[in-house]
Amino acid sequence: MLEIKDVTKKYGKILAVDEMSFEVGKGEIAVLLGPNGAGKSTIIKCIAGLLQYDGEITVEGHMNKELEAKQIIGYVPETAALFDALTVQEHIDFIAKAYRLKDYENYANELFERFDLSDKRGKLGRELSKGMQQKVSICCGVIIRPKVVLFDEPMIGLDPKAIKEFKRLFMELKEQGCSVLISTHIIDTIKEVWDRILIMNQGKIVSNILRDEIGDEEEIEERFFAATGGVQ
Amino acid sequence: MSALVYILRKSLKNTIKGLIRKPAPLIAYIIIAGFIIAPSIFSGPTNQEAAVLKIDMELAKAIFTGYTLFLLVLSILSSLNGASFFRMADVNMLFPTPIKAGYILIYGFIKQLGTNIMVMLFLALQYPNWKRSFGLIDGAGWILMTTYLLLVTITSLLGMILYSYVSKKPKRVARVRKIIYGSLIIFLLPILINTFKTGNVLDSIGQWLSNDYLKFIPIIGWFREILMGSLTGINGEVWLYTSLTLIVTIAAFIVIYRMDTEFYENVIAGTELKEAMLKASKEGKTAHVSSIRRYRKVNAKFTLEGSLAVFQKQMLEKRKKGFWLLPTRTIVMVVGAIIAALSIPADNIELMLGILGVAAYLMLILNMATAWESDISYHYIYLIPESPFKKMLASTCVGVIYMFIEGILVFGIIGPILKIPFWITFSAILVYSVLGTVFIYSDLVVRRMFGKIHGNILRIFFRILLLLIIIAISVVPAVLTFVLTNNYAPALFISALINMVMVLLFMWIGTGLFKYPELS
Repeated sequence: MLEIKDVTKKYGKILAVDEMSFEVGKGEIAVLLGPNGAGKSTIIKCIAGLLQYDGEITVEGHMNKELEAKQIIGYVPETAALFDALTVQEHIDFIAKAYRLKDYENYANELFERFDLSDKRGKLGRELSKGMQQKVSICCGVIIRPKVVLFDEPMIGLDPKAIKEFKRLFMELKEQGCSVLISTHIIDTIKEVWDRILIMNQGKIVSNILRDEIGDEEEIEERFFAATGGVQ
Repeated sequence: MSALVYILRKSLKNTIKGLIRKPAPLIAYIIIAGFIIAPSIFSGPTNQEAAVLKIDMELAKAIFTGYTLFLLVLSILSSLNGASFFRMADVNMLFPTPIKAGYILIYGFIKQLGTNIMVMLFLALQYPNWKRSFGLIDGAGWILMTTYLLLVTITSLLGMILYSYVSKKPKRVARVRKIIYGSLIIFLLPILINTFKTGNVLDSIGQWLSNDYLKFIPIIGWFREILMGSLTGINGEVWLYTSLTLIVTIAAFIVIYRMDTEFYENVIAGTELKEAMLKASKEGKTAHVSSIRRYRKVNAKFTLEGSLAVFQKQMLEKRKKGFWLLPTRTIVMVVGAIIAALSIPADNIELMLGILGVAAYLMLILNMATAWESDISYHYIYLIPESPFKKMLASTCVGVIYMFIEGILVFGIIGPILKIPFWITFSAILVYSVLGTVFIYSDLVVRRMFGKIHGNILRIFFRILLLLIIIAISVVPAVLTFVLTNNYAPALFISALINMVMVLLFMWIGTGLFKYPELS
């Protein structure tokens, strides 16, 4: 369960997130949808504990900056950042040790298999293509078996097979009771998976849509343009 | 041309605006300016006799030859991979415009001049020390600064010309590299022959590099003579060699200007390399370009948990990058200290303290890219469920271990060579290592105060300033202890103890860097 209450984030004088409040329940997939510069990445980074902010963010009842919360938050950044000198396998081993994970090997193997990384275990981070780096970054984010997982524009650079696998992973995380928050500005990428759409504009949630509330997928687009003032 | 003036003008204006908006670096620049101006006010002609060391003219000639040779060879070798005044934004936005290539070159040159002036100002900060220590003439600071500027300018220009030549045929790179190494024989062979005859390496180096005939070698010899002006005064020879250097600089500039659009292609490769190096430098990695760096294959398992996994990751990275816990710097320090211990005729204890002083000074002025800087450029460190203090400790621990190993190797080896009592050797190891540790943690404070917005030069300036204060705090009680006890050991212990207290203070301040990326 992820709860955001009155979160405000300013970069100098620029208001990036403006008193934002929302919740993502257990086993719910919420999507932050918004145009460029709406504040999606900023709120994701605030939840991940990477930015300072005003307001309150709790994860399973813990403040997000507490160690108990950090232990269960998974985060996949917008741009994959891998250590140059570490191999794919070493990245996972490092994360596993840093989070004190036990018996993670089988799950790691499964993830490698699904994302076509099995034969790349011995490759250094910098030897991988951008897409492959993104896959490793996803594995690092979910290997900790998070209760809340944050994906910031996660599909950029992925091939169609990986996107399909990734969507299946969303559904599995949902079934495991994980609260999933995805940020994107490309509506098509999340059509099949979402439970709740939070449309953002200028640092605010301007529309909160539940799947039951709308008829078809076309309506998301209409509501998006209506809420953000864009041209369809 | 007006477009280029516009960029330069706007860039300068926006930099100043930025400094006013975030005044911390501005205050830093003002203090630095104060440091540069103050010596010219306070060290008038009457202070000249207070030179601590009367430097031998032949030795000075040898040092200047070595310095010029080192800079020139280094610059030319690096230019074989592509030399550039430009950034990627220039390449993408200026090169396609219908502005004459020659003008764009001048623009790049002016920008480069700005960067070099900053480095020159950094050197200027060292000037009061050098003036006091070596008895430089009044106004020598200007000679040193101008010479530096001229040297980097001419080496950059020659590098560009050389690159434009080698880039036409791939085989030329290897050939030119061989020629450069081959011509170094002029400098090495006489030294080797003389060393075999006399058995003294240092004397042989000094004798050959100070040889009067070397002044006829273009650039290297000329610059040596110009630099000698800082000790002997400005004479006819200084003017002559300055004029010759200026003629070559202008000629090189004209050659490049006439290359017209051809230089674009040459510049792009160099610019890409420069961008990669700048990126690496900003992330706290060493100046190697990550794409060309080779890593050793190392089989290792992560066994430590929590924040200690960060420590283990760094150790693994070090093992992949080179010698097991022995960076090139340490090897150079050890070899240098052994040569000094074996060849300098001086009182043994004083010699060791001298080596300690030189080693500490080198640590002070050399800006080491440390692993913690690299760690905080990734998001992982902030996500790990451990306290920021533990993460800070784990991330800086490898650097501290390095310092201790370096201290043990340098002083643990020269101690027995110089037959120094164990307690003094031990104290020297402790002082060196703790001082190194202070340097690491003071970098945390500097990063915390000024962030990574402004360049490394500013950071080094403040590192020096901060550390001079610390050294003063720790040296004064140490000297007092020595005066009271007439024993080096307790004095060095006191110094180490005070440094430790400073380290704890810096750790406390620096922990914030491991809380949020915003604070770094």
